[in-house]
Amino acid sequence: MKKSILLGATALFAVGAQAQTINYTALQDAFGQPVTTSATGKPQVASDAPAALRIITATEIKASGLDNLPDVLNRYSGMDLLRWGSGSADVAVRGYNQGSYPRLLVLVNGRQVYNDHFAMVVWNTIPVQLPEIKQIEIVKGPVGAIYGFNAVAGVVNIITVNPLYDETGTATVRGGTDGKREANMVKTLKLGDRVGVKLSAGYKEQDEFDKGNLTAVERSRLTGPEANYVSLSGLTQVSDNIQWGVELSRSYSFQTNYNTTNSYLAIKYVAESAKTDLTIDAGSVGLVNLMAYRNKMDFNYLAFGASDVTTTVVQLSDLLQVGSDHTLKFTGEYRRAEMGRWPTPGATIGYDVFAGSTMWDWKVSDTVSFTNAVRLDMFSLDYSGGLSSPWTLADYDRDMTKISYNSGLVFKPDAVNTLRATFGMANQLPSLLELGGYYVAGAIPTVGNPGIDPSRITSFELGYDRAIEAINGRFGITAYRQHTKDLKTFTGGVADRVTINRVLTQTMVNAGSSSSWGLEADVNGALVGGLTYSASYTWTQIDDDLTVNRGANATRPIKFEDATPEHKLRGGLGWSKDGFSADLGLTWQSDRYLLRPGTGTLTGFQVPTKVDSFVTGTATVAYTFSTGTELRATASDFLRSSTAATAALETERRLYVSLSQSF
Amino acid sequence: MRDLRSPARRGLMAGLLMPILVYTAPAMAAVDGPTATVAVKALNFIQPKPAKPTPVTIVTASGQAAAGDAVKSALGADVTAKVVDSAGDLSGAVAIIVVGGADVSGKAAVGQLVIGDMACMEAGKCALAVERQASGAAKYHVNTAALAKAGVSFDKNFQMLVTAH
Repeated sequence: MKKSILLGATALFAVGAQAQTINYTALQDAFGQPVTTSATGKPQVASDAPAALRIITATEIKASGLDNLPDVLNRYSGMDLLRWGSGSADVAVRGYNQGSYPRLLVLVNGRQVYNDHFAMVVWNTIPVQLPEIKQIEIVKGPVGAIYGFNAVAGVVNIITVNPLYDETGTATVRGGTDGKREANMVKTLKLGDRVGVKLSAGYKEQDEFDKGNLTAVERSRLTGPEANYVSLSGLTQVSDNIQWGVELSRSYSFQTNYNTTNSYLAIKYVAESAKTDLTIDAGSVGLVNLMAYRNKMDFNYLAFGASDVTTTVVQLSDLLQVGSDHTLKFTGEYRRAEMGRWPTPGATIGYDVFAGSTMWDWKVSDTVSFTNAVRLDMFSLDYSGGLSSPWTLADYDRDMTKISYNSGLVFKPDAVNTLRATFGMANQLPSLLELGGYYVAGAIPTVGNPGIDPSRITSFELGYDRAIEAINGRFGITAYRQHTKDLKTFTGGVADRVTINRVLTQTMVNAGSSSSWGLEADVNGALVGGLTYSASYTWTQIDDDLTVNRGANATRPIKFEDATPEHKLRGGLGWSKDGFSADLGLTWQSDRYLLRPGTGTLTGFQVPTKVDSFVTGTATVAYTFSTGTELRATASDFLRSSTAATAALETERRLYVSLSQSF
Repeated sequence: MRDLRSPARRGLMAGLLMPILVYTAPAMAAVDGPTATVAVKALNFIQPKPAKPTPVTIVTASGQAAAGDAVKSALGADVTAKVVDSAGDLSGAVAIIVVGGADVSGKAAVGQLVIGDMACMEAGKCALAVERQASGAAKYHVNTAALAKAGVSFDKNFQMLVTAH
């Protein structure tokens, strides 16, 4: 039966062309620059994208010598890293960073690894080994019309090597100070001309940082992070015009996280995913893609309780060229997310989202292109199981419809200059906990809020890029204005109690608005003798207009003004020749104030705590033998034994040696 | 609350709007070895995919065989190339690279991709031309009428990245 359906589909679309998932390697080789689909959903060379886009190539990742995604991302303008511990971190785009940062949608080959329970990314659970990454695409600014809810600060799309097109085999062992031990491997295999498979696996552990201003309770929750991963994927050319892919993954992580209330919790995660997608070249109908995946994460907050969250997505899209000047993409999507109530079990909360979107890319002339996209998300909340005060079942019966919009005008007067003006509007959905999945019983219950509204983010942006032959490089500058309406905040203190359905309650609420200005400037290129260089400057200024925390001391755990460094400077220098390579990355950032739970007379309050300006750096040297063996030594945050990069644990200097073998 | 409307901050925004636009002419010369090397990468995206090494015929005008040989020697192992003059045999080639003043109008068979310089592509005598930029990036220009007439089609992802004429 299944075979006949497949054959029927083949016959339906048998128009002589060969279906292709995008071959990033071959396209980059042909066009001399990386190709992306992250900005609009259609393939574009990076310089044509109507967005502030940065593509981190596999070469750049390897040259950095770094061993984790947050540190890699933090080398680029507009990015902000809060490293809470040796295994936990939050990565923000364009400010507003906080514990369990919710504004950045992170994808692996189009599958979200953003977790809907807390609306956050647990970077240490992403089942990807660095050597299997083809490129990381960072889109800065809201792209809700392409991705839907939660792509509000931007999107990070991690693209791994394609088992049908790329051949990769690497095994790495790594050891270093502070108990660092790691091993990982990646291998692609071609089974004939039409089937490719990829297997990757890894294990890593390290001691937790030690220095820093933590309470005894927090310190008792610290644990050395430990994680393991396995991922298996396959892609087959079913027929000349159909490709079918499958990806399966599992990861386990035990680590200390910094949560939305600005304190540490030890958490065990088990994340599993299954994804399949079908790409069909339907001739004049376009390139049709059907993608379906399911993510499941078990989470166990050791001091509180365990639960699980699942997200299921089915997406059908059609990418269609009309004449030579117009490209259209139509997408329909169904999404379901649900979790068991936490930390008090006994109920399930979930939502369905039906969404439709259209992208229209118009090549107005040889020098001007104009892209517009709009998406409608229809959301419906549901709840089953035991009800607990103050909410009634009627409170959970909530539907809403949200629109997201993106527009971009790109002017390329010649081969070297690009001017860009963009506008984006996107919606950040409250987490399942915020929508009512959080419940702590007591005389005064502490609960989520099914009536909380999504945040709406709007952004205007101007950008200019120039290829400069004299420095064999490029210069880019982007300025933006961003506004967030209906910020959300976790529960507060005694002063924040409210009466709901005649019950005195502590709950999450919308918390006002915030605006920001920002500027990002980058220059990078290559010099003679194998030298490469990069430098960037990021300016961010945030102005809150909160409806909470209006007293002398903050009671809710949010305050974005002054929480992002106003200035950030980065510089990098690389060199490679005859098997030797070296890389140095330095970052300076101005001071910031992060909230910490008060102690003593300030117990129950959130206290702004200054993090002084600091310089930090990473250096790496490597030698690659003709046998494909690479020996590498890396020192991260090496300028001093520990750096107070947050108001909590200090980031410690880490030294490690890696031995890799290609096969 | 900080004053976000200060003259200094507005100046930063204004500065962005005043880029110095210095025009640099792209390389659009006749097909040479480096240009042909980039151009034959388009063969990876022809549908259905031709087997490798892909047969390519380089066509030169009379007396320009040396230019054809230079192009041939620049091509990599993904193609097998032969050099002929305008009267030469084009059969068996997946792609034909037109060098200098050669003219293969009406001689290429259906299914053969004719690659030439920008003038050849704009005149519709060639289906594809490559513009190399100083940064190392490349632009593929496709004469869609010539491509359709030749009966050649590209992978849709590649098709969306080329500049259509």
